Amino acid sequence: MPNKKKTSRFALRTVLVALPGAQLLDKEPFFLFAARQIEEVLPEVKVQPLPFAPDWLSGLCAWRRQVLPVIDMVSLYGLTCAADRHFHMVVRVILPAESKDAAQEDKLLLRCVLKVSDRISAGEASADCQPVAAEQTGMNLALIKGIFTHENRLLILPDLRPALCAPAAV
Amino acid sequence: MKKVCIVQGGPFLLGIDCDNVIARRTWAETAAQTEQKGLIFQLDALLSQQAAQAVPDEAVCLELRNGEERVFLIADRLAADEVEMSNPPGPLPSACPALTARLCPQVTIWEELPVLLLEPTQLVATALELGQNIGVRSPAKERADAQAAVPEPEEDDPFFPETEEEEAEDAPSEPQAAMPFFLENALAESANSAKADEPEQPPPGQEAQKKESAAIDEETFKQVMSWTVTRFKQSRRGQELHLGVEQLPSELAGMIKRKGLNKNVIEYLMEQIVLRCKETMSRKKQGGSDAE
Repeated sequence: MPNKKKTSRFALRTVLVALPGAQLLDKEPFFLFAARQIEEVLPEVKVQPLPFAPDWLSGLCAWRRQVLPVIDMVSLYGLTCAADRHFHMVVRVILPAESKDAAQEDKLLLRCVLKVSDRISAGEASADCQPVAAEQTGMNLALIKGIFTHENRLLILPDLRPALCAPAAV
Repeated sequence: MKKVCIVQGGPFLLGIDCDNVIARRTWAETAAQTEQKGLIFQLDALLSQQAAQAVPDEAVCLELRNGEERVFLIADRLAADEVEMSNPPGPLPSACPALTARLCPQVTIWEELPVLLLEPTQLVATALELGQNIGVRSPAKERADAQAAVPEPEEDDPFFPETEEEEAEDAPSEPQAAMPFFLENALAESANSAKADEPEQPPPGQEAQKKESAAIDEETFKQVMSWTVTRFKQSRRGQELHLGVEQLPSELAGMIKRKGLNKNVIEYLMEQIVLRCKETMSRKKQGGSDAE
């Protein structure tokens, strides 16, 4: 039996990625991920460009014998970032499977690599976050699970599923 | 285990199944073959959606199987040849654009780099989708380049009089540039086959006239070809196209008259071009539905 308390506490652990130099709704924006989504942070990757790809899709890279798409988060969200250095985060995204057969797996695990600033920090989700209407940010709503404010920070919960499934729709 | 030939074009790395590679040459060697048959794609230009650029002589040119036909692919360099893939190829990640997945449905890893595996039969469809001759070296340009390398014709050459060359320089090149490349290619074939067909299959009742008539020169041929293709493109699908010399623009009709070219021969040429266009269209249509 899994320890419910432990699982719940683990779910609250987060990873924040700053966007140095950016301002959104007069606050400093951060991408917010659940810690368990992040598989690895890579200081360098060899990215092979992909023909006919949109700007936000930097290319492909090889990671543990898998070929993963590399997504430029700043470009995907139409933001600005003055970071001097970038890291690449291997992230996993769970998708509902297309199969209607209940006997089969009902979820699909996809991985991608996110190009982000090197300002990555681990923490815990704060209980006093306030939700913000995503429409106010002018970002593509399909790519956002939620937006919250905490002190002078604007926390963006990315939804990468549209980018990973149907790039043309983004 | 499949062997793959890996080429680089600009920033792109592409693998090609060695079974599909007929020959590997330099561009200089390929360009010297004036009899080359098949479309010429420039990898870097095609994948970065740009018009074909000047190709250095030392660039690699692969002759590839494209179903029953063959195509040429120019790349900057051959990164590796006859590579045995230890990683089995897999499908592209779902985030990749549909056009990429069509041209390169599979990907593998070579020296820690993802390598897209090219499906040569999709080159034509991809170029068609991109349009505007992106990444395709025009057969007409290849011919022109080849001609440029040939010594200047003498002044009394009836096929290339100097005045006509000047006319050609002044003539607008826009219709030629706007022509879809597959039509241009079909017409490049027509240029050879229609010319070759002429003595074998003269139009009825034209044999005697043809003897008196001057031969069609390159410039007239190109202009008639360009005009006919434009008319073909403007016509409705399924509509029967009847073209005559009297429909030609007055400048072109005047030029034909001045050169003493036979009306029936010109009309026969138009008819042949329309036929080739129709053949190409139906072939492409068939190819498209097969692919689906």
